[in-house]
This record gives sequence, structure tokens and C-alpha cells, in this order.
Amino acid sequence: MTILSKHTIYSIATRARKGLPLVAALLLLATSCREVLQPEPVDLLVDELVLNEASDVQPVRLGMYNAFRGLGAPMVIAGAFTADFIQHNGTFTVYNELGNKQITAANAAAEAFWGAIYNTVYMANFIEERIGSVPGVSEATRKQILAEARFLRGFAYFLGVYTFGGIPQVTTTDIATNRNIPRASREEILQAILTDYQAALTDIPVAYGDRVTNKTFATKNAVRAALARYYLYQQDWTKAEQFATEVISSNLQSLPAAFADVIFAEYDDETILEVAYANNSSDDPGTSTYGLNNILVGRREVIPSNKVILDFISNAAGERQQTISFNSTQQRGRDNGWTVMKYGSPDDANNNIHIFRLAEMYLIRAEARARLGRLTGSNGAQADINVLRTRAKAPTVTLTSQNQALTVIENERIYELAFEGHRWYDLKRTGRLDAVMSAFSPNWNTKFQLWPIPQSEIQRNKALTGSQNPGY
Amino acid sequence: MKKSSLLTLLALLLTWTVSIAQGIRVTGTVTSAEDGSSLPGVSIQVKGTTTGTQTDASGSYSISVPSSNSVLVFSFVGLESRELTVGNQTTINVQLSADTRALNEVVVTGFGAQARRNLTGNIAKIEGSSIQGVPVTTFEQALQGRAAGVQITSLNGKLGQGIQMRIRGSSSVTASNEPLYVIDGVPITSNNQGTSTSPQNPLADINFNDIESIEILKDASAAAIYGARASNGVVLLTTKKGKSGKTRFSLGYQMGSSEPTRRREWLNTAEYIELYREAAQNSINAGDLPANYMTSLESRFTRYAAGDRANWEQSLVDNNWEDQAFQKAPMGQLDLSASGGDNKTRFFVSGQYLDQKGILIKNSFKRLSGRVNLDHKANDNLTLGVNLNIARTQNGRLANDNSFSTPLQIVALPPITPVIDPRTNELSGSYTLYYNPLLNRDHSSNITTSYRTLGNLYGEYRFNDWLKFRTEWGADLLSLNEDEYYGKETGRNTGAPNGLGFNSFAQVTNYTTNNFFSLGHTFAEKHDIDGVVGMSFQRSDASYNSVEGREFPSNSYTRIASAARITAGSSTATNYSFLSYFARANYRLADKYLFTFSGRVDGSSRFGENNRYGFFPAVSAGWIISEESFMQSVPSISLLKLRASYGLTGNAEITSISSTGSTFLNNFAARGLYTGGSGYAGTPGQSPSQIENPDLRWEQTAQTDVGIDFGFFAGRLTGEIDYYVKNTRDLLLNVNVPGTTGYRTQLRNIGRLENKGWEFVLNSQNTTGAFQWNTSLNLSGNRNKILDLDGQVITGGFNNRAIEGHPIGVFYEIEYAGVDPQNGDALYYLNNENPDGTFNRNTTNDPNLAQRVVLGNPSPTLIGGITNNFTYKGFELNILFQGQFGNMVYNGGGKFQSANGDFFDNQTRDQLNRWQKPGDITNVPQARLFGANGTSESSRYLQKADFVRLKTLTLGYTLPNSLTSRAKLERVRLYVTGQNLLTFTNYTGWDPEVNADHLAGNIGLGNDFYSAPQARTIIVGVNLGF
Repeated sequence: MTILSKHTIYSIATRARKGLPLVAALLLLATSCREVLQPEPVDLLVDELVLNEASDVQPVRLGMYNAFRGLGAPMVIAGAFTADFIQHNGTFTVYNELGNKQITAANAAAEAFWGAIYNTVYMANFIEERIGSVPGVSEATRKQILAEARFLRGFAYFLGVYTFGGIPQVTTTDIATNRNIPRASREEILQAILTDYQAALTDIPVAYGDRVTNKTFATKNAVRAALARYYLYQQDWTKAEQFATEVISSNLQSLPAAFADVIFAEYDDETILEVAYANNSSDDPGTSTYGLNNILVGRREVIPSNKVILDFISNAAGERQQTISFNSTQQRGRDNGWTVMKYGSPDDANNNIHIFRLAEMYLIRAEARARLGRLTGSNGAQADINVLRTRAKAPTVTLTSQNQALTVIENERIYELAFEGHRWYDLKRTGRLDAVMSAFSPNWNTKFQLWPIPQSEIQRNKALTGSQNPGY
Repeated sequence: MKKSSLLTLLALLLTWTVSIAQGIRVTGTVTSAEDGSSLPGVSIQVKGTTTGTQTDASGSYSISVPSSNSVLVFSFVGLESRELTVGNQTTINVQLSADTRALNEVVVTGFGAQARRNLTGNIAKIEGSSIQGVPVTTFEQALQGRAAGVQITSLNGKLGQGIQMRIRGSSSVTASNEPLYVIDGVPITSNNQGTSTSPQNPLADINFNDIESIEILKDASAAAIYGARASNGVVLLTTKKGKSGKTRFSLGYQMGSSEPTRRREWLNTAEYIELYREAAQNSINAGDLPANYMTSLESRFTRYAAGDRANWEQSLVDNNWEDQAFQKAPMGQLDLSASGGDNKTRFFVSGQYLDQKGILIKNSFKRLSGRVNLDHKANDNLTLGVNLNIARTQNGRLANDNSFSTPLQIVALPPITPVIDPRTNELSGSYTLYYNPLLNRDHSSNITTSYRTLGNLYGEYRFNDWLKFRTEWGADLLSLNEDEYYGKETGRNTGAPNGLGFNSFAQVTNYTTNNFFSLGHTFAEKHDIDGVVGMSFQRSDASYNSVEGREFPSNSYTRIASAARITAGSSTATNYSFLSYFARANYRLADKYLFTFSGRVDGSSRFGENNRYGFFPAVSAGWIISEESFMQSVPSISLLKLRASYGLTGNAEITSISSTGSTFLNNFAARGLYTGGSGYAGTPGQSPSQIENPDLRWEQTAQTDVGIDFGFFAGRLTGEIDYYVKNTRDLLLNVNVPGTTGYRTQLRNIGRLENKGWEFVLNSQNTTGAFQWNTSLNLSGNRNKILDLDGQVITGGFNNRAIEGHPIGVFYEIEYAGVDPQNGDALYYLNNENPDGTFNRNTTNDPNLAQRVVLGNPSPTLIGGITNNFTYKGFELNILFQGQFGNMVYNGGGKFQSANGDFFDNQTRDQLNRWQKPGDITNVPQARLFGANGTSESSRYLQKADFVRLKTLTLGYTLPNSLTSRAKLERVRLYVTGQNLLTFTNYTGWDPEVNADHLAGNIGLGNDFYSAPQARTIIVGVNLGF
């Protein structure tokens, strides 16, 4: 048996003898080798390494948009499902509660929405805190990205304040601070939103380049659109009209001739901002509980309510009826056979979610003008409404009184913007929520003016103890 | 630790070595007179002085004596002492023979060895020889029923499949519950490295015929030397060493075959048609199906019967599909080893080839393994050696139990469907009720190949009689390749109309070094002190990649190079390290009073920076009462020892749940992390994926153990009784954090659980002389209880849960109340809680109204094994029974298999007892097609799974020397072994030892889902020694 030659063994022995003190010294590794216990993750990046140099900025900015995108589905769910647009048709508790107007503080959609808001806020704060100290970032880039961050944060708070009321205002990425943070007042949040929007308006670009980036990243028109919506909600009709007009007259967006493009196409002409999912890729919402295609088409957890079906099959809706479609094989029991079509599967390629589009600007301006008493003429509400009617190949309207005009606009917003996250918020700001919803559902309760602060949130954040919204 | 002070100490020790090295130096080895094995830990004293030493792990010693008149006293507990005058000898080799009054077993303790008599901790030892020849693929299976407090569960009867081992219960909810495995000092990779949800087993790479002994460290005193990784127990594997002398060859060959332990009974065609006609009629009568449904039913029958009405109407096809899932399962295994050497160099080399087919179609396992263990004594002071094992295993694998393509799901197909479609003369495919798994048999391959190198080098330097230093450098290199191809014929299952190929690689490199001093000295003849102190470092790096392709031109192309579309691909990597310092001291006073102190400081990259190092101390004491003078008057008691230990151990196997829901070892759980997978509109982005927790640390278990070791009648009856309490705190849980942080959950140390149990071991030599009969029995009970989960409910399996106040993984489900004799409705207990705390035992036929309750425990409360060994002349008979009691199994497949004709799955024959008319008393509800009558998950499908199994039976015959020597052979042994020959159980499924592979985990326990039964294997074999 000579597996090792004598020479080898001898040399190992000598080496061992010589190496012995060295080996013994290994025992002393205690203080000198702390780094041996810190191998770095390979697939993932430790947070302190994430934003240190200029080339890190873009991926973090995209991460922020990734978080922002998470607001899309909850916005649609809150705006459409809390209101009179849907009925429950599935098995998930979260949609049962929304469909039957029995929303509890444990509702998972509330928790998801809350989480999405603060994911966006976290990323915006992260960028705001770090970007100033990242070397090599040009002033222009820094300003632009800060503007984007502030806009996205402002929009997150906008959704938050109109969904939950005054919510905690998070201004840092410090976990300890953010763990224990009380609600801010509604006014404080509204003020913060305005500050963010106004700051963003100055520095944000008019455009980024190609069609896709112009429609999926925040542009100056997106900020104007947000301000138009903000002032509409504040009932500052003049400013609402002003910002809507700025968007419309910029001519950067235009209404596609066929309304079908709004439903079935991505990055259509009138999009001001939409949150985008890559097609056929792993970043698609897929079959998650809050994936809109899954809820509305795949599982049909919720289906259009009979009320909204009647709205859509009316003449006034015109081509916008394509927002929903009917399949007789699905009609049985409580299932009326109708399906919401606005959110396609990954393969359908229309799985993006509109945040702002041009039609809303026409509707904001129409409403502002109607409120300001300008119904007809080139500066009147009627013209704006008929732009949309004409595009939808629906009969035009004639406005005769302010009240009639407001009713027309309320309905027009259904035809045009249904399932894009507006209805519940619209009824709230016009003060018609309780009246409309009591007629729709016997379970309606005025407490549903606001969603509950997620129960889990109150349990985990001591500073929220006792500050649940009324009625929950 | 200060560098300078330690160096000074080292220098001092070296000087001392020089100064006392005078007089005559005597060296030698001490061996056992019975079998020639070396004896470590033998005490050697110069008579009348305080000078003394001990033998090392290989039984060698070296001592300086003042003169040639000196007398050396060799003593070892359990052996008779010998006194020898040195004279002019410098080498004194001594053989000690057994003192029949006590135990002489030597137990490996981790960084040392100890006589069982002196042990104060709890260590179970299994001799390698006792599991040799057991016809299983991996050594854990061979250990079943052989050690108290060790529960081993094969998930199912697939070869090479993952195995669950629980030592003294589950001590974690989310982290690993598997023990640490250490081979010759090297902690090895033992967790699943494959991509399938049915885990593979890296331990199956080990040829267990190379194993000399397996020690299982169970209590804190024994395990604390492995610190942060010892809470689940430690399994030490020691491989065989060469023995000096003539080179001995050993050749073994065994062959045999396997079959399932049980088959189930299914409906034949006539019964199937009868049941489903009745089920449809009942649903028509109830108005749930249209009145003309019978016509559609019959056309459906005809469709399933390959389009020929006569096939089902006249039973022309009457197919038992279950038979198709199984195959002939031959096995053959060849072992060759050689061992020998001289005084300086000893070697052990071995090779093995195992080729085994599984009982399920397409399941196979092959292992080719070679080993070289070499020890060389360079001079009186320096020994060095190498252990090297290279193995290749090739496992023909199967889809997990949840797949339509796994063989046993074939039982769902109706008996009216023929195997071969007479219209095409090919396997029935497109028209069958479900996918036909036989298509996978003929048109797919799924091969996992593992290359494994396990090796270590060591050097041991003896400074003087009482101090030596050992350094070990080990590596465990694992490379795993999964190669899968599914032909276009399997498209119904894969969704790939033109074939699907998948290939993955996992590479895990794992380096370890151990460096430690061992000391041993006897002072004033009655103070025996020995100990170790040292450090160890481990670093492990793993990388994984995979690729999937679709659209192959034909099944002749199976590699992804030929795929028209690459549909998925990924690569990932991870790593971790441990830096540890350990020490142990044993103090023995007057050979009666025993004390052990041990501890380890473990630092790991897995822990948060505020808790990077943990300290795990343990203390234990023993009192050998039988050594006291007052016990000498009771000669029938040969040993009576009380033991007690207390200590802390940790669990560092931190796991997380991935975004896809699978569990993975999270080496960076403490860090704040960003992930690059957060794209937006198709552009890459990064976003936070994990909140940091700088306080994150190991889960900590405090274990108390008290025990008695006893021996009666000159050691013919010996045993141990232990009681232990394991309290685990700082359980790692995903705690929800306020959303305002931007995160949802954080991994924190927050929960608590406990295990309490007892162990009883009894060994008896019932007869001695020509006819020898030995019995060994082990029994143990464990009760697990979760104390605190921060209010969380953690689920697994079909209905397993971790609930505070209950054992881990209890079945939590609605309770079946049988059948309403009036109308055949399945009934459930309401079980809502009354104001007085009792449960409402009224029943309902609406499962949604019934409340879920805790129904049973998936973990046994009592496990045991009993071995009887008979020898007479050349004959030997060895019988091992193994059993477990108190646990339940949930058959998740019940709602399909035994659903009183709810859908078209073939049914178990017991469904013929369905309710048919008012007044029928039965447990099977009325058959209602699509009626969901009793098919809810409920205790209807939960059963007691107590079993006793004739695990291993071996009958051997060793030819007499007179015969063998004529053939120039030293030894010829012929044997026949049966594994799993008999199983006694009331469980009506295939096998009560089961845990569906796709659900198996900490919480997912005791589930059956079309899981294959264990194999009953019978082999014949021959061992030749020459």
C-alpha cells in the first residue's frame, strides 16, 4: 500500500512540525478575524451598499416606482369596490366584506393598501435622505429624482388621506421612529401633499424620451393632473380648472379615437401616467390576491353590480360599454355573467393601471366650470363633456342647469372612469356617498366614509392605540 | 482572549514539556483482549508516584518512568487492571480483558472519547456493525428503532428521499429541526439541495458500511460542545480505521428485491359502475342533477372506457391501476474493503457499488463510493492521517406526491380505463380522467446525480504525557445535478406540447478546521482530570443555477441546447461561516464522583451584529454509587450511577419563507437587504426586501437531564433511565411590524416551546455459553408543547398548526360525526364553545357551520425498538421490532379516494358500505355525484397511526473454520435479511410511516397524500474475509 510516498509523508510531517506554531496561532483568531464572520450576501444587497454611487441611483429610482406601482391595485379596489360598482362573487373574505359592505378593521385589502402607501413613502424618503450625499450625481439628475420622489410620496399620501383620513406622516427611514408614530391631522397631510406636489412641479421633466417612459414615469403633466385632482377634491374650482387646462392645452396627450384603446391597449395616447408591468415576466401581479386580473377575470371574485351594468348599457355610455362584457355561460345563481375588462392578464398585455389620463382632465375641468357656473360656450362644461361623448360615439348632452350638469358629470365619470379608482372618492367629495350607497346596499353605514386603519397596524404601532376611525 | 497571554502560556507548556522529559520513555498501545480493538482513555500510572497518563483515541500512550524497576499500572473501568514492571523494555503493548462487572464501551464525544462508565451526559451509540447489510439506501433508515429518543421518519417509499429525524422532539417552529451531522469532525451538508418540493437527501451519499460507530448526542452536557447548532441533537459518524497486522480483505455481496409493504383495495369495474350509477341517481333525485343526467353519465363511462360501451357494461376492462404504479425492484450491492498496516502506518480502504430499483416505476438509486483512511505515526510525538471519501450517487427521481405524474396518483383512474388504448395501441393518454402517470414512465426522465467528496487531514502532536494538540482540516464538497426531460407525450401534465427540459446545478463547498489541545492527567491517584480546549472555523459557500427549455424537435433531443425556447433560468448563491471556541473538562474523583464542564462560544455570520457570539455552557455530574464501600455488599449490582446535567444549546439553522412560499435556509436573516428583482415597466430596479434585525440570534434551548445507569448480575443486565426537560426560547418568528416602517414582517427571536420526555434502555444477556441470547430494548416518550408564538397561528400540511398550548403541528380541523341514519347526510359536530367552556356536540350537515378543533397529534408520544439476537455455533438470528404510538395520520387524499362517489376517482372498497336507505348505520355517507357529501377536510380522514413493525430480521450462518481455511479464507458468512417484513397497524392507508413529501416540514407532519408505502425487502448475502 503506497498511497502516499515516504517522501510525501515526510514532507507533510516536516511541514506540520514547522507549521505548528502557526496552527496554534489560529486559536488566537478571536479579535483579528472579525471579518471572517461577515461574508456578504451574493444575490441580495445589504442596504448600506444600495445607494452609494451615481450608478446606484437609477435602480433605486426604479425600485421606488416598483413600490409606487403597488398602489395601483389598492386604489382601484378602494375606489370601485367600496362603492356601488361591484358585487361579491367569490370566496375571499376580503372581497366578501367589500362587496357586502361589511368592512372590518381586519380587512386584508386595507392592510395591503396601507402597506403599499408606506412602501412608496419609504423609498421616497430613502432617496431624499441619501441622494444628497451620493457622489457623482449631477445637480439636474438629483433635482429630477427628488422631484419624482416628492411627487410619488405626495400621491401616496393623497390616496392615504382620502382612504383612511389623517394618517401617520413618515419623514424618515429610521425603523425605530416609524414603528411608533401617531396619526397626523388630515390638514397636516393635505398640506404635506401640496408642498410635495408644488416642489415636484418645478423640477420634474416634461418628458423623458420614448413613449413608454413618458407614460410610466412622472412628468410635469402628471404633477399638474395630480394638482387638478387635488384642487377638485379641495373644491378650489379655479385652480382645478387651471391645472386641468394646462394639461389639456399642453397637447402632450390626446384622446385616441377608439375608446377600446383605453381598455385594451398599453401606453395609449391619452395616458398621463400609468403604472407598468412587464409582459410575460415575473414582475407581473399574476394570481396574487390583489392582482386585478385575477380578482376581476381569473377568479371573478367580484363582478360588476347590476347597477353599474345598467349604467353601461345605457345609450349615454356609448362605446364605453366595452368596460364590461357578458358571457352567458357564466350566468348562474348570483353570478350575472358580466366581467370587468379593463385589466388584462400578462399575456393580454393590458395589465397596466391608469393613474391619470386625459379624459379625467376634461371631467375635472367640466366639473370645475359647472361649479363656477359656466355651463355652455367654449369655456363651458358642456363642451368638455361632449368631447368625451363624441369620442365614445354616444349622443352629446345639453346642459341646462348646474344641478343637472353635476348629475351628468357624475354619471359621465362612471362611464369614463369606472374601475379606475374614482367612484367612492367622488361620492365622498360631492357629499353624496351615504345617499347613493344606502340605496345600493342595506348594510351601508356612514362609517364607510373612511376605511378602517388596519387592525394589525393599531396592534403593532402603539402610538395608534385608540385612534381607529369612528365606527370600527 | 489576549494574544500575548496565550502565547506565554503556550511557551510555558513547551518548556515544561522539556523539563519533565527525563528518565526512561515507554511507549505502546493498549488493546482489548476480546477483539484487539484499541482502547482510548486507559489510565497508566507509575505505581507509588503521581506520574500518570492516558491512552489517546488510538489507544497509544507514552510515559516517562524514573527507572527500570518502575511498575506501570494499566487500568480502565470495566476492564481488569494489569501491573507490569518496565525492565529494559521501551515498548510495552498491553492487552486488557474484560472485567465482567461493568461496561467497557467507549463513546465518541466530539473532540474526544470517553468510557461510558465515566459519562455524565446522554449519548446513544450504535455500532456500525449492527447496521451493516441493512438493505436501505441511507444510514438514518437503518437507525430506526435502535436509539431511545430518536424518531426517524421516511417521508414515503421513494428511494433517496428526504428523511425527518427528531431527537427528543421538535425544538423549533420555523428553524430546522434536523440534527447536526458530523463525520470525522467535519460538519456536513445534510439539508435538501435539490429544486423539487420533494426533498432529496445529501446523507444518502454516504456508504454506511464505512461507519465504525454512530454516536447521537442528546442532552445538553453531551451536545453543548457543538454550541449554536446542537439544540436538535448531534449525530457523530466515525469511520473505520485501519488495524495494524496482516492485511485483511473483506468482500460482501448482497442481492434481493423489494415490494410495497401493503396494497390497498379498490373498486373493480362492476362495483365502480354500480356506485357511480347510484351516486348519479341520488343526485338526480335530490334535484342537483337534471333528470336526463344518466345519459351523460353513461357517455362519460364510455369515454373513460376507451370509447367502447362494452368495456364497462360487460366488464371487458377491469383494470387494477395500483398494480401499474409498482415495478419489480431488484437490488444488488458489492462491498470490498481492506485494512491493515504496521506499527507506523495503518490503512483502511473500501469501495461500494449499490444498484437498487425502487418499488415505484422509474425510481432507482445507484451509489459508487470509495474511501481511504490512513494514519501514520511519523515519530513518537507526531501522528498524521487522512480520511477521504469520494462518492457518486445517481437517483432516478419522481415528481412529488402532489403531482398527477407521481406513480401512485394512478389509483385515481377508473378501473374501466384500459392501460393501452385499443384504438391507438398506445398508452391511454388524452381521454383518461386524469393524467396517466405511465406516460411519464415511458416518455420522461428525471435523474439527479450527486458527486460528493468528504475528506479531512489531521495532525496530532504529543507534547508530553498529558498534553497533545490536534489539528483537523476537512472539506465536504457536494455537487448536485438534476437533469429532467419530459417528452411531448407528457404535455397534458407539463403544459408543454413539444417537450420540456430542465437542468439544475447545485454546488456546496464546506470547509472546516478544528484545532484543539487535549489534556489528561491523574493526580494523587484519585484525581483524574482530562479535557479539551480549542477552536473551530467553518465556511460554507453554495451556488445554484437552473435552466428550463421548451419546444424540442423530438424526444431524441433531451438537452436544452435543442430547445427552441428557453423559458426559465436563474442562478443564486449564498454562504455562511462559524467561528467557535470550545472547551470541556472532565474531573473524576476517586473514580466515583464525576463532573463535566463544557461550553462553546459560537460566532456566526447568520447572527445579527449585536449578538454575533453566543455562549453555550453545560455542566453535569455523576455519582457511581456502586463504587461506594457500602454497595460492595450487594454483589448483584455491578453498576449504579446517578447522572444529572444542565446546559444551553442553540439552533442557528434560521429559515425564511421565500416569495414563492418555499422554506429556505436564510443565511442573511439579520441583514437589511435589497433585492434586484424589482423591475418597473421591464427595466431593472432594486427595492428593500428585508428589514434588518441586528439583534437576531440563535434559538436557545435549556435542557435538564437526570438519569440512572444500572447494571445487574455482573453486567448481564444493564440499562439507563433518563428524564429530560428541554425549554426552548427565542424561537424565530416572522413578526409583523407596522406598515409605517415600509415593511411587513421582521424575523425576531420571540417564541417559546418545551419538550419533556423520558427514555428507557435495557440490555440483557439472557443466556451465555454456546447458545447466546441478547435482548436490547429502548423506549422513549416525548411531549412537545408550544408555549408562546406571540399570538400567531402558523399552519402547514392540510390542516396542521402550531398553536400555543398544544404540540407542534396538531391536526386542527372540523370533526366528523358520522352519517345521519335517516337521510345519509355526512354530519359534523358543531363544536362551538358553550359559555361554560364545553363544546357544543350537536351535529350539522353543513361543514361551514362546524368549528375547527384540535383533533390529534402527528408526533408519537411513545417510540421504541426491541432487538433480540441469538447465536448458536455459526448461526445467528437478529430480530428488530420497531414501533411508534400515540400519533395520527391525516390522509389528504381521502376526499378523492374515499368520497362515496363524489367525483369519478376510483374509490377504496370500503366505500361500498355507503348509506343506501333510511335506518342504515354506517360511517360512509350516501353516494352523491358532485354532492360533496362528507368530502370536506375533516376528521373523517384522520386515523390513529400506531404501528409495530418487524423492521429487520437477519438469519446468518458463518461456516466453521475447518471448512473455510481449506479454501484459504478466514471467514465465510451467508445471510438472509428481511426489512419491513411485517407491519401491525390499524391505519387503513398504505403505510403508517408517512409524511407526504411536498408538505413535510416542521409543521407539516403526519400527512398522507398518495404517498408510496415503505418497501419490504428481502436479500441474501455473503461476506468473505481473507
